[in-house]
Parts: sequence; C-alpha cells; structure tokens
Amino acid sequence: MIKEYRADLINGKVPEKKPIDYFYKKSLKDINIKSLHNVYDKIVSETELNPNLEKVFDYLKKEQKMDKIPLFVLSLNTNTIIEKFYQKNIDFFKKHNVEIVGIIGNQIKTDENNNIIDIYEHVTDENKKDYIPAQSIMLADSRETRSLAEKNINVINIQEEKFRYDILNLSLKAHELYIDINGIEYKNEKQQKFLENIKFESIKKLKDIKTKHEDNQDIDLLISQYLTFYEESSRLIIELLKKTSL
Amino acid sequence: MNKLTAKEKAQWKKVLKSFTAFKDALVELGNNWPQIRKEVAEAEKNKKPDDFYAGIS
Repeated sequence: MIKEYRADLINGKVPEKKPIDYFYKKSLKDINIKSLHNVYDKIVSETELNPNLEKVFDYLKKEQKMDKIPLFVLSLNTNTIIEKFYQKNIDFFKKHNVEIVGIIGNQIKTDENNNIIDIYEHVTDENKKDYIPAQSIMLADSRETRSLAEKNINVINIQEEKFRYDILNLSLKAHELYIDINGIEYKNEKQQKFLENIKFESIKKLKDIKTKHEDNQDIDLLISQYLTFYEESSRLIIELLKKTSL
Repeated sequence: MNKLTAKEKAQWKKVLKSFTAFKDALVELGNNWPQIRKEVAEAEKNKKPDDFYAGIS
C-alpha cells in the first residue's frame, strides 16, 4: 500500500486510495480489538517525532516568550494511538512545557465479538478545518497544507525542508494582528468595514503565500500589492489617531 | 466628529503596530524567498522514494 501511495506521490499524482482506508478498513479488518494495542505499540515504537516540531516549540519559547504551549491534536488516527505516542514522548513535551489541551481523532467500530469492522470517520480531510479552534495556528504536513491554506486556515507546513522560520514568523504576526483587530471597539460602520478589510487582505495574503510555498513559486507581486495596501491603510490609521478621519 | 478616547486610541495604535509587524515579516520573507525556493527545489530534487510521506495525519 505504501509503495503504491508513494509511487503516486513521486509521479506527482494525487493518490486514489487514502492511507486511512487501507490501514483501518483493510489491514485491521477482523482483528480483535485486544490485538490492536499490540499493533499500535509496534507502530509507536517505530515512529519518531518530527524534528521540526522542536524547532517550532523552541521558537515560540525564545522569540514569542511563550512559557506554556497549548497543543490541540487533530488527526485522522484514533485517540488511542495519539495518546500512546504522547506517552512515549512525554519527556519531550514536558521539557518544552507543551500542554495537550484536547485530542480529536477517529474511532474504531467493532462487531459483537469485538472484531474491527470499520472506523467512524468523525474527522476527514474535508471537514478537518471545522475542528480547528478559531485563531489557532495549525502545524501540518505536505499532504494537507495546501487544502487547509485554501480554506483560510493559518497553517504551517512542518514537513522536512518545507518548514521555514520566516513563514512561522509571518503566521504568528498574522495571529497577533487578528487578535488586535478583534479587540477594537469601533465607533461606526466605516471603521468596522475598514478593519474587516485589513483582516481580509492579510488572511488572503497569508493564504496566497502558503500556496506559492507549496508550489515553490515567486511571491514578488503578492508582496508589492500588499505594500500598496499597507501604505494606504496605515496612513488612514495615522490620520484617525491625529484627527478622527475614519 | 467623534473623538477617540484614550482607550480607543491605544487599541488603534496596537492594530497599527501589529499591522506594521505583519508587513515587515512579509518583506523579510520576500527578501529570503529566492534562497528558500532554491533550498526547497534542491531538497525536492534529491528526494528518495522513502522520503515521500505515506502516513495518516
């Protein structure tokens, strides 16, 4: 299955079959739920943490002065395997003061003899965005970054060489901007629309940058457009601070 | 004209500051983009079959 899946990726195709279907619906089918723990233990023992995760946590601590990092895990896997993986790496998470604030995963479906027959897919690639808490930053892999970015999720690809501190920094700055905009007590509809426009343009720019990064394309035009928008908008804010022009 | 209160002024100043920080981060990213593209392209070129992630995320 992995060979077929990788062959599609190597050839630049979108794989027809999803790994979740193969693993949970085919490989595990008819296995007793009691044996599942052994399967999970074997997988977890052979799975390493993504080293870029440590880079993100270090950056948040040093550059953003975050003492405690709340982590919400959203996965197409089951909660059980996520918890096992967390327990295996608990020293790492403690060292970085990472607190798991929630896990949402999928659920195994068994028959009356406790044999696995299927998986309840609460979380799917299509609805994943609906579970992401507002204003959070999503750490993702290459498989899902593009589709999440297109849905305006503040997503960062942390897979191998795709992870970049510059993009993490931009995502964090966008996050701070949204919070500050939401904190404004605007006086009229004009101000409200003005603020919504800053948010809209920034979200759009972030989305476009991330899509370009996935495609490894140029961003010069995107930046120059935003600089024009920034010059005009910041001038209006400065005027408002001086004489209430908005 | 509605004059801004001190509290409102502080809120707008905060927005201007974070708006500028976002713009600066964007410009910095733009400056580093050619190098980022080069490194990503190089890494993609040297990818072996096993480097293609086939897990469930």
